[in-house]
Amino acid sequence: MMKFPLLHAILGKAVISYTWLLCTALFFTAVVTGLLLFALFYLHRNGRRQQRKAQLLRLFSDLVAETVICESAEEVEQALQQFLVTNSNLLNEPFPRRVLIKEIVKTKGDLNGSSAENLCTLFDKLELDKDTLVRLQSKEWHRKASAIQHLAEMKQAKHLVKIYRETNHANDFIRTEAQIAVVKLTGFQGLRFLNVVHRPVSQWQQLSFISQLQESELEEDKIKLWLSLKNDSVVEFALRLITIYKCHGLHDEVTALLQHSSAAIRLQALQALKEIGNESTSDFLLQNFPAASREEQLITLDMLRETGGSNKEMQFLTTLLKSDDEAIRFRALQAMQKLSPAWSAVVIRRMRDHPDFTYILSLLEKQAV
Amino acid sequence: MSFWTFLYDLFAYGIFVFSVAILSFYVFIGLYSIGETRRYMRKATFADYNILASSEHAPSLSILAPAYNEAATIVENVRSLLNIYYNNFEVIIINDGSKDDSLKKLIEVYDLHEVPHFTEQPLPTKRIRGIYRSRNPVYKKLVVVDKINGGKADALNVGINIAQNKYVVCIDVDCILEQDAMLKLTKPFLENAEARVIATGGVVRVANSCEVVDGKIVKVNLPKQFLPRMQTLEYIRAFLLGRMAWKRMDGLLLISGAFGAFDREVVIKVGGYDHNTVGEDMELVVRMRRYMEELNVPYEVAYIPDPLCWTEAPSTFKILRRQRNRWTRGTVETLRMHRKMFFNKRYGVLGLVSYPYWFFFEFLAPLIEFIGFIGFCFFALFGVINWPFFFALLLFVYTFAAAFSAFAILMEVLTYNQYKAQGDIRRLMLTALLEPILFHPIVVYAAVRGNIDLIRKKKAWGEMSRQGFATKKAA
Repeated sequence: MMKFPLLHAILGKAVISYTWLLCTALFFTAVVTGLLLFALFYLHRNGRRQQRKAQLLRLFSDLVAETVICESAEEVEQALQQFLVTNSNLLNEPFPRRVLIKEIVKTKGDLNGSSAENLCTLFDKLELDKDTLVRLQSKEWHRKASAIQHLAEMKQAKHLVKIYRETNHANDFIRTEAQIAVVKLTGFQGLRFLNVVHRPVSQWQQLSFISQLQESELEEDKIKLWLSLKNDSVVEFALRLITIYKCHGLHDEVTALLQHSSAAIRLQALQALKEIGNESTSDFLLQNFPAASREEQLITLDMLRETGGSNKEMQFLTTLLKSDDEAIRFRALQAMQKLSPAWSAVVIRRMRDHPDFTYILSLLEKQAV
Repeated sequence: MSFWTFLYDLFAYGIFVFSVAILSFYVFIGLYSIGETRRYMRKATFADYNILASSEHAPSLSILAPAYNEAATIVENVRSLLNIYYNNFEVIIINDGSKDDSLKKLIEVYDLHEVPHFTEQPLPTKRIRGIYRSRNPVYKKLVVVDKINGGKADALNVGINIAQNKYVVCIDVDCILEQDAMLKLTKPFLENAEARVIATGGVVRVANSCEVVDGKIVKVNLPKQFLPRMQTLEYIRAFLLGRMAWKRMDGLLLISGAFGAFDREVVIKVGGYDHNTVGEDMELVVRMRRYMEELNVPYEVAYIPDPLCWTEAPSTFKILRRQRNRWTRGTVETLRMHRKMFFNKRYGVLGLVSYPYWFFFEFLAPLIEFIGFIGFCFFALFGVINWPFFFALLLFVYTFAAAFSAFAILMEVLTYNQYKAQGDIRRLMLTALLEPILFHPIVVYAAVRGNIDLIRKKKAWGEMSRQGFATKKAA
């Protein structure tokens, strides 16, 4: 047998020995067995838990269904008392109470009007807010966040102070849920934290806030203030509100933002102007056009197509036909065609033999057909 | 010390060090993924997707599905895509010069007609023959593009050019998506207020043997066939352990081509999918990340572990070998294109951890394993093998592999627990015991062949014929 001392030293003795390998293999075998047993044990336990949960859900769904169709708080009380006659001890245990809270919150999410209010009444009568507040005190962030969500869904305005305290929490999820909850409970007034918030407000939060707001609550003064803040995400959110609720009174503030340093804000300002534009908007757009990004220019041309038509605008659109950018030329011609067919007919006649316009003109012809 | 002794020792030292490194990394990945998985699962306990589902202000998506000779299933697949839960989306089917009657079928069933459409070409592609939309308002979200054949990357680039929306979701047309897939895939783009989310990857699961009704998975079954079942275990390991750990490290380099969402603007800025590689999905992610790193802009590549996309895994050795051969070529091509990142601290985790990991443990590992095997045969021939030691080492490696798979199975049970039938977990465990012996050698062989094909400059994608799902119609 050849002698390879180094290999022998490394593999045979010094670094790993034969016995060590066997022991480790044995250890891994034990790990495999242990993991398998744990997985099976977990499945068994979880299966039983799920079974119990399913049983409880069957019971609770009757209570919830009856509550939903009640016509007054007294009827809710009666339905609850009937339920307690046969299940009096059930709601003394924490697990069934947790299941019931989830079921009520879930059902409430799909309902509104008196049915939803009945569920809030049931939540109050069973003092389920106390359970939720215990979760709110939890050190686990996900428990805290879900407790906030539940309190908001069940309209627990009496705990607003506790929720408000969390709107500046260091954990993103708790903070977000708390801010959404405050808006859910107090509407537009709840957005007052935007005046002072330093952290960016995510798109997700913005969408959540919007879904909770109602047009009647809107205050243009506050939106105007947000437009002037240094937090770009708040400015963007304010512009979104202007777009959605068509706040015509803020037209000048919005046009001023066309020169903002943030591209996202400039784009959102254009979107807002699409909704609240007036006779002076085109002037702002034309002024702004040379400095705008390509994307903004394309949106501007789409806007001019809808709102323009003056001689000045038609001349401006005609100058754009010299652009190197085919998309700009196409949209300029498209706008012209819509605003003034006579003008565009003259321009198109001039361009017909120009090779840069062959594709564009054929496309416009097809579109016209 | 003679030259041969030195060579022998070098070989042994090298393999030893490499083995210790790779096993240590696997242990690290397994343990490191736990934190990210736990965080995601906790977040899921209160995640509310209703806002996205119902809001007209939700971000707009363009779902891009390239199709090549998919006539047998395309009508159903498109229907399934049009039925997903989301508000603002369009579905763009790119018929990549199919030789069958895919386009004809789509035109007939969805009442399509050709429309004049100004198409900007920020990404150069093969010529578009026509763009079709439906006359029926029910299908107003559907756009079908007919183009000259140019491969998957080219088809996706056409889709990106045509897309009207901020985010593009690239999927394989034959995949089955969960109804809430788009809600979950979109949410990460909205959540991060401090960094730009440039891409979100989702999990792909094996759909073989699952019950499919009207384009939806209604019952998840563990595949009955040998190869798909092996791949089920492999996918669980890769998606539930590997990618979660990489996500936590912020070093994810791969979003599966079968299911991923991207920020369209960034995709266009980096030049879209590359036609010159068969691993265009990985290459795009690496290029996007590299671009953002070079710009020094805060960004994130998100990943969600929910099983949202189901695909048919190869069930024959031939198709599996082709697939793995292509994956290997794609990996090597991507690594070669971005070799500048190798141990380059400018790219942070990507340059110092992700790229070296892919280089050593994804690209080199099968080659080293193969060389090790040849070396072993050679030494056995010369009678220099210490057989008791060899068997102890083999047992060690085998039990380690089994333990790693068992850990992945446990994570699956603790999280999504998709395989609920009596005995499924035991069968998966049995798979974990058989896989190192029966499946792994095939993968290594395919990877070696992939490297050889790459040297031979073979560029073919490889035919990926599928058996199709056993679908049922709803009663």
